[in-house]
Amino acid sequence: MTGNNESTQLMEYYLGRLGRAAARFPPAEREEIVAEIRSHILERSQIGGVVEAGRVRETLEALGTPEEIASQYVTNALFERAAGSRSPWVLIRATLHWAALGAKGFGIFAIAIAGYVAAGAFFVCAILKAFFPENIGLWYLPSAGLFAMGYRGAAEPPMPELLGHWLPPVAMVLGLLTIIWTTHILRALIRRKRPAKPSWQAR
Amino acid sequence: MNDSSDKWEAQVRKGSLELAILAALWKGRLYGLEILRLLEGGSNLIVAEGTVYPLLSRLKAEGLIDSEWVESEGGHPRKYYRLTKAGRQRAAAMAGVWAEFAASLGALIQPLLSGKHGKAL
Repeated sequence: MTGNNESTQLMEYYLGRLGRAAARFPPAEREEIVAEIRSHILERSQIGGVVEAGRVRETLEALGTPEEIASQYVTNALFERAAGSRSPWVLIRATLHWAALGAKGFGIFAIAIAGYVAAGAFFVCAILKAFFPENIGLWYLPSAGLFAMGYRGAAEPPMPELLGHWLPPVAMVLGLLTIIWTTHILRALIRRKRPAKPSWQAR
Repeated sequence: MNDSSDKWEAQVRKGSLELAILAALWKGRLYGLEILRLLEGGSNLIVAEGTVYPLLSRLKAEGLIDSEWVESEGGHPRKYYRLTKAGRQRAAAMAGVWAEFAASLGALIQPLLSGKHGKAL
């Protein structure tokens, strides 16, 4: 099979962009993605064993941009990993990618961030109680009918602190529960996006 | 077609693409371009041809299909796909659901299609 310079250049430029857009994959996987698309371009662009530049251009147009293709590989890989993972880091990365795809994904990314930030805040309270015993506490705000955990400055009106020495363990447990709940909700949402196998196998 | 019916059509295509690929592989192994040609021949399921490759990779990650590189007489290797046992089971189950669904929906929409004889709104 032969091809002229122009057709080769067009193809290599496209494959180079694809390789860069798929940079987050390990080299072996990335090479396989590029090799498969290369095979597609050569196969689809040749007439009687000759690869022709006009056909290459047409083939590349029909493929879509290399960035679009790479983005779909990335989406699949992230969701595949996230659906089986309990790591906040993996889940946040999957929802961050989801956020880039649309408004719904952005809302779910916001849930992920809010959940993990709230959990972090509980842990911070638990630790800081040792250093600022008078200022960190679980406060009751009668005017609003609310409980709030956090920092209160000395200038603010005194308010009963409800937990005392119990605050660190309680805050730790609340933090853990918040992490577990956030992880659980995110995994359920990710599974719903990527239909689980048993729904088909059950029939 | 307005925006929302375009969006609906895109979703129907997207939802049926997985079944179409599994069905294309039912009779034996095929490489990417052969699958694409089968899909394009019977229907206009594909929007961008590039979408089929990430989807094949996902089906492989789910264990529904296998792949192998084979040298071709054309000089460049081709990546062939075939259904796994789990893939055959899933394809058959999906086809059953689809046929049932299409039959009941088909009966429902029948009056809409014979529009000439229906009442004008």
